[in-house]
Amino acid sequence: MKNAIKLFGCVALFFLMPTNVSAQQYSQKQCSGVSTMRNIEFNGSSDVEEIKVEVSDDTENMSLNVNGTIKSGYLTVEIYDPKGKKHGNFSIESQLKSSSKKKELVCGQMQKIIEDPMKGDWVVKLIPKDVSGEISICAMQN
Amino acid sequence: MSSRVLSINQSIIVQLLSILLCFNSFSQSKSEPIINGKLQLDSIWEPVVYLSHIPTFNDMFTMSNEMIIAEAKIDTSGYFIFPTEALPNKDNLFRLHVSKKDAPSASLIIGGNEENHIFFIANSRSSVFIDNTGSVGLFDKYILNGYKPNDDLEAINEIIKLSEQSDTVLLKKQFVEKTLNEQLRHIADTSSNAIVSLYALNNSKFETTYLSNQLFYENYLEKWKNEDSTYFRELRTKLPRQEKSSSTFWLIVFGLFFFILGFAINYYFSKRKSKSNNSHLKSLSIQERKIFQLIQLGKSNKEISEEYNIGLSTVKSHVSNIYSKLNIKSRKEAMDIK
Repeated sequence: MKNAIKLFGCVALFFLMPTNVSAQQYSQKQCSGVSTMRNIEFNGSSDVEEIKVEVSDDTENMSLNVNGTIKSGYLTVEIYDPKGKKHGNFSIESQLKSSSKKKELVCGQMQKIIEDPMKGDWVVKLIPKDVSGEISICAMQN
Repeated sequence: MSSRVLSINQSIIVQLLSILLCFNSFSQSKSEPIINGKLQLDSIWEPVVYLSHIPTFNDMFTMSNEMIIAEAKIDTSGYFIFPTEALPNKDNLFRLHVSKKDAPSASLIIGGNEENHIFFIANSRSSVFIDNTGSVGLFDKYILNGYKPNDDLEAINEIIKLSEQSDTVLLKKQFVEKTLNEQLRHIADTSSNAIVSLYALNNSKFETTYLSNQLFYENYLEKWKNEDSTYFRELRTKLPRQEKSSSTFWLIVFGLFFFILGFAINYYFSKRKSKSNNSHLKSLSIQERKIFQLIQLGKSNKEISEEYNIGLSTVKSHVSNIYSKLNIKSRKEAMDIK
């Protein structure tokens, strides 16, 4: 009986190990060196949000991914360096009201790779106007 | 042997057919204006291409369903076509994009290999051909043919790319940026196409260099003063020039107005004063006028009494009458009357 249990345990370990390893790899691939990972949901919001990404002295490059999908409203995303200089922006708009039964999705995505980024707080500014939807911000530093 | 001949014949027929096809598409593109092209897409992309109208340069990176004015299927060979007859008669800026299969049609991806859009200029009579078949990503290397202003637009995009990739050493970066911005201003100054010119100017960081190049911007606005497109209206709202210049103009006008007004008021009152003095002088008697003339010459009461051979007290009495009739209090005031 003991041998049977041992055998079952070994077999289970054999099958589970690769799954675990691949899950780890996926997680590392997604979030390796992540300094900021934020998911923000808007429910008819018009409040300006500023997401800070702290960049240290030894950072050689930074990859910033902003991905937003909205169902209604108007959302502007702006990226600023620590000196306040704008490094990109985009806006997405869905003219349906948040109470509307119809569904219309609009998606905006920005990828920025910044070599030798300025040290300090980089800012991802979110300017929503009656926005329902969500946005994810992922900053990776190496 | 016969099968070899057959295969040679087949390849000749295929070649002839493709030449015919090319000729047909060429003659078609010559005869009627179209936006067409060939896109090579991965399986992650929906084989549909969307055309959006960009009303201002501020909207270049804005995405909404309302901006999409047309969509076209991409066939199995990668070809798509849009008619241009519904486009405006004047040049406008357009964006062409594709979306991922799991994403909404109104999707904008900025940066990276998956950047999903390009911009170009077109109007109802222009033909544009887009080809990304030499591209590794979606639009990292593409050909945009057919309408000349788009060549200049591409040249500007190359300069913008250079300025984004410039050196990491701050001083060198600033120098490169300055040089590239000057290049963009040069294109803006020399281009005969309004949108190309404005696109170059818009990317030359004109808001920060306005004060150091004020004359350039004033001449620029003067050159395009008859352009009333939304693109130019947007520029005019961004530049402080008109407001500043008009306020200076009005300041000068008001200054001149008040100067002339002051001069006129002064002239009016001096005239009035001299008129009133003249009327008072007429009220003097003959003897008093004679004495008044001597007072104006600076003579003393004693000198006047000796000159007219009259008593000093009589002179004093005449002088007192003169003062009261002319409403003055001293000899000095009497000497000032002309």
